[in-house]
Amino acid sequence: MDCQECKKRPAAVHLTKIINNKKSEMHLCEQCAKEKGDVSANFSFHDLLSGLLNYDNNKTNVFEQKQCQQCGMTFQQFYKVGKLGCADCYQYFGEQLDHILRKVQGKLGHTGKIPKRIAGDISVKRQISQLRQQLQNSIYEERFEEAAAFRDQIKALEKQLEQ
Amino acid sequence: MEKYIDKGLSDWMQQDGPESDVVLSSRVRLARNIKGLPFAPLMTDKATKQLIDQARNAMNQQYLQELGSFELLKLKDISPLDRKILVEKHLISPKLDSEYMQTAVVLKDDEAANVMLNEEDHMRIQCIFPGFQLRTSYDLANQIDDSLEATIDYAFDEKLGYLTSCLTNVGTGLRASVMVHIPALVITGQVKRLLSAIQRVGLAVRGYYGEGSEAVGNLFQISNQITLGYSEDEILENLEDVIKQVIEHERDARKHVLAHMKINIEDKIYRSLGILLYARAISGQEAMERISDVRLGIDLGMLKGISANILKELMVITGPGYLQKLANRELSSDEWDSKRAKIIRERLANIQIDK
Repeated sequence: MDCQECKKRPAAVHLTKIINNKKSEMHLCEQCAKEKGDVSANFSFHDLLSGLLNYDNNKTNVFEQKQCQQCGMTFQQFYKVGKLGCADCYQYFGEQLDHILRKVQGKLGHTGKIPKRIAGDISVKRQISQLRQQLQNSIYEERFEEAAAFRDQIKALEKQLEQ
Repeated sequence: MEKYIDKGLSDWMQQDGPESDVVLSSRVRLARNIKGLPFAPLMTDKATKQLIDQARNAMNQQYLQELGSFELLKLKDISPLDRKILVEKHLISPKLDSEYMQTAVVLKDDEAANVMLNEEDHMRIQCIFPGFQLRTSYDLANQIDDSLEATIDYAFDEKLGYLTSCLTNVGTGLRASVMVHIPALVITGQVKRLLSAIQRVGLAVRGYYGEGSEAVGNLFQISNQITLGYSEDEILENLEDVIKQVIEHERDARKHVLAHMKINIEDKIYRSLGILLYARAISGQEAMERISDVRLGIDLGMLKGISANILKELMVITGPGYLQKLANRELSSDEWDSKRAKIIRERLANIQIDK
């Protein structure tokens, strides 16, 4: 659909106005929408971020002082822009990002594809954490022989990781 | 470059795929970033050069070449009009175009795949196939990903997966999306209920023009929202299961429409055909709506002599960029509408009515 104003760019903002029970619709591109001035043309993920963070005002102030030691982005900048500055931001904003990630993504913990060249170590670690869970279960259910077998497997894998 | 522009229609637009009476296309996107380079908000000229160099180097790998012929193009070397056509053909995003001084794209010659460089993430691998072919689309994207990764170190975290500039993509970086044409669900008034059910199971529904847009021509894009905590396989399976239901519901609704609303539906389809065959000027929006009706007429067997892919084709070749390219000059706004009407009349010339 083309923009109703310039008829050149595709329409990106769709407005429905109801004034005195009269409904009117407008379809504008971002530029024309901004020029018309009566609409927030850029509502997006980053607009939601500050809302997601406002769960505890005191904590938000602490967050704002955090800074990524790699790229220099501050947490305050992050939630203004809505985008991180580099991969290390994930590490420096760790706890705070986890909080937002839980809201955005539902649950944490990547279970999908791993780049092949680093897959070895990570899949061993995934195996170890599965075995630990099985070890716990077998101890809980008093199946001690099985538990011993899991323990040995974990030890062997841990050795493999060290090498 | 010219071959991508001259060839107005990509394979996904011209060819049928499985379940193509309802599903027009299946698209998959993988977001990837390079370890050690700043993300989009802090990107520098030096890092941009490194990114493009690394991508060029990765393209020379034999493994990638075995998948097909790829070409890397910097956007600043492409004319504004050609860039606009690439956007209309879905080969690049509007964002890549808007930052053309710093961006590049790797195009596969059959246009089934592309890798956008320096978009919101360093690399966005995209594949698009006709009909309901999410797995085929993912498999190709996955193979391209493997071959890039053979020489490129990705920003990856054991706990969070592929690290992306925006938190909405972290994890798998996978956005799978299916474009469906569901006119009978719209006509029978079931579409709102269906779409809200879809949103309740964690999927997003958008109009044809993507985020924030309304549905035009009864076209909807349905895609996954969650990218973290589920494997690629689980994400695709969830989307596939929902799409299968949408397909069944739409087919049932078409049967219902034919059985109980035949005169109304015939009237709607033939009126729209009449307008498209005789109009001398038509807006982009009206064209999409009328073409959607004609496409339904083809699917229901009322209209013959023309491919059902007419809907996908006309979506692209009646876009402002493409019309201007055909005219080979700047067009005024009235001229857009009359050019559009002319092309549609020509494309529909062989249509036959099943009396």
